[in-house]
Amino acid sequence: MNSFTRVVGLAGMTLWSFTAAAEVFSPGNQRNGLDDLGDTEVEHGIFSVGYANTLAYNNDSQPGILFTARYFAGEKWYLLGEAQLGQFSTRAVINDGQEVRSDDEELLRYSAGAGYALLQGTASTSGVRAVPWVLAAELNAGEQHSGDTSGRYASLGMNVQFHGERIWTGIGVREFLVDDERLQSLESDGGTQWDISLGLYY
Amino acid sequence: MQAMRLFSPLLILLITTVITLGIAQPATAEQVYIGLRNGPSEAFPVIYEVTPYRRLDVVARRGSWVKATDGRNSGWLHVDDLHLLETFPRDELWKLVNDARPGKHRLELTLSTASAYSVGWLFPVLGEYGSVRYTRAPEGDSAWSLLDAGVITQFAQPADYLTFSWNAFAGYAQSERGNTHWSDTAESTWVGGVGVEAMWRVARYFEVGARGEVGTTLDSDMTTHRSASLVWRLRL
Repeated sequence: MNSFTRVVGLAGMTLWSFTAAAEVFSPGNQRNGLDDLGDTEVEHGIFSVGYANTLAYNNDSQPGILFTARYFAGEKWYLLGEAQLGQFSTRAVINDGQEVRSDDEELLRYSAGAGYALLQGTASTSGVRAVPWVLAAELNAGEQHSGDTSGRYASLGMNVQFHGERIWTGIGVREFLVDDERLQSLESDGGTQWDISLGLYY
Repeated sequence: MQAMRLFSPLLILLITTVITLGIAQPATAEQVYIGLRNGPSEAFPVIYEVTPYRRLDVVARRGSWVKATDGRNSGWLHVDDLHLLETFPRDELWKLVNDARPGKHRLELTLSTASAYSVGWLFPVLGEYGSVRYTRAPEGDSAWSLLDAGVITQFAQPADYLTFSWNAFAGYAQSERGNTHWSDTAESTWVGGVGVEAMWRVARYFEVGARGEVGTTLDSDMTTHRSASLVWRLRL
């Protein structure tokens, strides 16, 4: 009887010690409350779509559509990614009986670069609502395909931007160069482009 | 003599009073104002001022600037100035400051004298930086591309904003249109190389710099090319 009591007692103590141990080594999760904080809306950059007009040397003015992504990299710097689709030529060029430019060539350009805000200020017409504006210099480099040929593309330009509450507006002008041998032979390897775009923050 | 004894304490008292009045400034309570700007940069003008005890809510963040509003007016202020707002919750402040810090990953774009551009991703690995890059030279008949992986190790930092690093890479170069940039037989080949770079942090999330690299084919020909690149790097 005594040994049975001892066994039961020891078993009870063992079980109790497990329970006690479980209590010691199973602490509840500590919470600092940070998970409960709502995430603040973050503006990483701007997606914009716009109309672009390209005037290459020895070529007619050609329309296009311009897609741009800007990513804020600091107070004044932002990164750029661009894609432009449009017409390149609507007038054929024949050289020594050979067509070197057809009358229905299309243009595809994609490039990346950076912009730097040279001037920043406030624009207001009413004195009640004020819109921040930015004058930025933009440098782009990439590739341009026109017709059956392609070449490296580089541009330097200025962009005036109005950072509205929800809508972003940008108006840009740039000089560009393309090192496409066919366009070089046509003396059409550069020119001027302007664009107007509307964008949303993302 | 007696007169001197009588007047000495009076004279000392008089001098002390004059000095005290001369030094002491009238007590004025200076009110501190926190300026909210029209945009997320110090270049934008202050359009609204609040006292440190005004309750403001943060509605948006752009980089290290936050847009705060009291319900009627709103403006931008730097996250480092949020602590000036006495009523702003400390946990929210900590979270915003922490969120505004640049991460460890980098996105990289380069333009090189080898008539090539590259896009790369840099990521922390074993205390250093690993890199994966895609390089492409799109020039007509001599077009080629290279996909490589490597490591970048910083060896000097003379200032907070300036770092010097070396890099090593290995990858696979593909010849397009049968060009012979990497191989006389215009075949695709393995390439390895080393380089050194200097990077300047021009903004909180943005670095620009230059890199010099030497790459060689890992075959018996050992065709070697040297290049210098302009590097733009975004701290994600």
